[in-house]
Amino acid sequence: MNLRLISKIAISGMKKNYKTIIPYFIAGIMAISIFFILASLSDCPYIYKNGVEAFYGAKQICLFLDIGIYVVGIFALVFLLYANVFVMKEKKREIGLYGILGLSKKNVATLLLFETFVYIVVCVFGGMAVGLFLNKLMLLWLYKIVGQSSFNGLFVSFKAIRNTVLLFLGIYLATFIFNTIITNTGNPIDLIKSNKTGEKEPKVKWIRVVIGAVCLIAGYVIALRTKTTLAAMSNFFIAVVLVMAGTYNLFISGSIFLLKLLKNNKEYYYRTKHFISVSNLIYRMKHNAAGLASICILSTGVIILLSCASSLMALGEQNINSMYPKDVRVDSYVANPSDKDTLKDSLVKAAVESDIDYNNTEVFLYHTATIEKTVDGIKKVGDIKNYDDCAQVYLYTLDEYKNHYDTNITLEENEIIFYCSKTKNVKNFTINGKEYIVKDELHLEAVNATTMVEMSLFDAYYIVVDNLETLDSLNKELASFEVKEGYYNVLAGFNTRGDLSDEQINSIKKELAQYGEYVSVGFKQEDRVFFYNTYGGTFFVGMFLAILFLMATVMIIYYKQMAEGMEDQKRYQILMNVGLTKEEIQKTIKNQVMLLFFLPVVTAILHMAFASNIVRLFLSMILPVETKTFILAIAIVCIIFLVIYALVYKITSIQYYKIVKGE
Amino acid sequence: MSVLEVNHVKKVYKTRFGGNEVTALKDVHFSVESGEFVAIMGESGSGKTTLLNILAALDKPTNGKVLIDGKDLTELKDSERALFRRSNLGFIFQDFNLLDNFSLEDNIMLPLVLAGKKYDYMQEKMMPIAKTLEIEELLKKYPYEVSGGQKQRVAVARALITEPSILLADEPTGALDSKASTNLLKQLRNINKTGQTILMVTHSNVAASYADRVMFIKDGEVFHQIYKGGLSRSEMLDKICDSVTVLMRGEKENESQVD
Repeated sequence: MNLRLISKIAISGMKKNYKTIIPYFIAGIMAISIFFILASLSDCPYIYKNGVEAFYGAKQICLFLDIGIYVVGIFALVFLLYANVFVMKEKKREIGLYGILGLSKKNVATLLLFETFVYIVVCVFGGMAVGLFLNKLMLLWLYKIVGQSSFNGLFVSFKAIRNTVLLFLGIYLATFIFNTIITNTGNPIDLIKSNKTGEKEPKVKWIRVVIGAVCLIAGYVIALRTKTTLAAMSNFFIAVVLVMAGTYNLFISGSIFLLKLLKNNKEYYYRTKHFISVSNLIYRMKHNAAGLASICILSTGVIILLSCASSLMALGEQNINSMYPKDVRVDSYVANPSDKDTLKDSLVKAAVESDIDYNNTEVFLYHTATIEKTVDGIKKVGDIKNYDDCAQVYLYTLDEYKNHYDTNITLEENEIIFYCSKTKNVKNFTINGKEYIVKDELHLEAVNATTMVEMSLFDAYYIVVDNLETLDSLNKELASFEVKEGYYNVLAGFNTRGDLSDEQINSIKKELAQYGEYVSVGFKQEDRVFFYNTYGGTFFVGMFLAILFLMATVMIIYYKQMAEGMEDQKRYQILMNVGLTKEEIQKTIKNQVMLLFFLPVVTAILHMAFASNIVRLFLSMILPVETKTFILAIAIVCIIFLVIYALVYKITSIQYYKIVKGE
Repeated sequence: MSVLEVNHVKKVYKTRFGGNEVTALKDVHFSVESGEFVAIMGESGSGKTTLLNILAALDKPTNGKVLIDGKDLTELKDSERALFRRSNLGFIFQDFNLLDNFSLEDNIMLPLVLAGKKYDYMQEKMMPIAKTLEIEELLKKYPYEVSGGQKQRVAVARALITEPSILLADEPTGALDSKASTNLLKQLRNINKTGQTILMVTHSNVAASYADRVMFIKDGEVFHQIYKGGLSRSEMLDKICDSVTVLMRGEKENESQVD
């Protein structure tokens, strides 16, 4: 049989099935363009190539891009194979007919090969064209996110082109092999008649209903009960697994259980409005529950990913400021309290010499220790069983406190000024068994600069005591492994106007090097770059993944509706003959489609609402996030998600009506 | 009193892009009396299906009127048609048209549910009909669990439950074997004896022989009709066969004229 005829058959077949083929093309093009963009950015001289960073920390971004490439690649493979199954479902009848008309199996295979060829040409070239077009745009966007100034120049990565072509060639050939096998196994009559037989009403699987309910409730309770970041670290994945198990079981069995309950209620069931919907839904849930649960999980993933990434980005500057109260920060140890001024003088000297415009110079002398919380106070760290019991304490003398905060307060030996982020209005505070009277609440702004960045995970106690003697003895009582005996912590720092140049940074580092290994110098501007690279990179790759997941969600639901529409056509024809009016039919269809469409998304939003607490705590492992901002981020993401989803619903339901009405 | 009056009905189909016109019904004119069992026979393409669709208010005639119980179907609005169909007409189809996801019981009660009746009322209505049709044992089963003949009897029950003015049957024995066919036709005959008007469209001479009157449609017109009168069923069958032969001969002559 000649190739021209086969190609003609293939093209006309595709035209006829445009409703399933076009989304398949779109899915392919999007997956390929996303893969290509990530691949070409990871091999881009403007970021990181051949061991050369285009800017400080670019290697970090490249790492995220590489992770993104793997995730997208694997996801594209699974998803395109899945979409192909839907496309083939429609095609089976057609291919069966060709078989009857006399096309041999070899001819059919040629036909399928030709179609695969068309997919490859359209999707791979289309996807890469879109990718190449968006490439530079995306790079500029990435530059904007990480706070780099833009650049001139174009780039084309041949490595990315090669990898993209090879991967997707492989994926499409895999679909071809799969399709050839399924069309070759059945005889033509079977292919034509596929799924025409009646099927049994599903039974309620009680065990699954119970397991599902228990898992879901347990997951929710864990999510709500988690109070600290450290607990969130260990509980988060348990909660995720429980909620996933709960979702799948409840979608699959719980829905059937509920519908059967409605069906057994004769007064409810035998009403025009419920009769058709309930009985249809039982079968629909039987077919689609797992798919809907997957959509729900994917949607939850998208919402979590986007909420986290966007609130991190939104809070970025604020978080840097709270982590770095000063633009330049020097941490050191001194044996003698008066040495703190030597350090400060060196820092100022370096600033003056290298012509730095500085202000708000401050220096602190203090002790700090990791301690264990008790019911009414703190004590020296013993045998730690739970990291939630640990906290960081910062101790200052009254004189030091007065250097930074204007007050006339006086303290006796058993009196302290106190602040804790967790507990307010404390009257008495016990330290290692000895009770202290809290005379005043400490003004946090005055000493906040001393908070250690790396300890921000733990609760912090700030305590001012009457004099140096008490300070030393308290420190000795509380100090554990990490403290240098007999030394004081010193922090010196100032703010600068504008960023420092590399020479200025180096001259400060050089000046302070004389104090040996115990001095560490931190610059906010350097850490800001690090921050934006890390979180900006995550955000950037996260956005691509979110788009891909969203597209997958939308495609799955579109295909499901199409498949349902074909089955429902006959059913509604019968109902029409029996005397159901057009309006009634439209209404029942609308109710059902709405329910199936929005059930997973509403559940996803519900999951998100329950998860917001634990996710926020989990996130504060990376950066502390305010509840208000985080809720706002979730709300915005949910609204955007719903709008996109509603749009797809509109398109899908129009197509569905057309199919059902037999147009 | 006539239940159904078909007054000079004409139906012309236009092909999608204007152009050709196809006349499906030229001029059909007849009436059916209350309690009558009428069969309509005709070859494929004679206009049977078009006529049935018009009688069922699924389609509108180009010209002419259809009156059921004195009500003009052609003047009904779209929204009223479905309601009219629901309360005045009962249908039986060749392929049963039962809904797979409903039990047989629910299938029978479907029209009453659509009419918003109470469950107890529906049960009360259904039981005697199910008994007459000998399907009361099957009510809890699903369509895929029973035979074709049983399915068709369920369809008959569904059609009768609303006490329609007229029962429209489209080739009801088309998918049944001869034993199930005979059984079904006998039951239709019995139902007719209780006063139910039946209009049946069929190909089958045997099926038509159960009717009181047989009309032959050809090229969109009522070509011929025969009355059973005092004849036995086998005599009626002979008469039908004769008429069919005449009908077919006529067709051949027409063909030769076209050539």
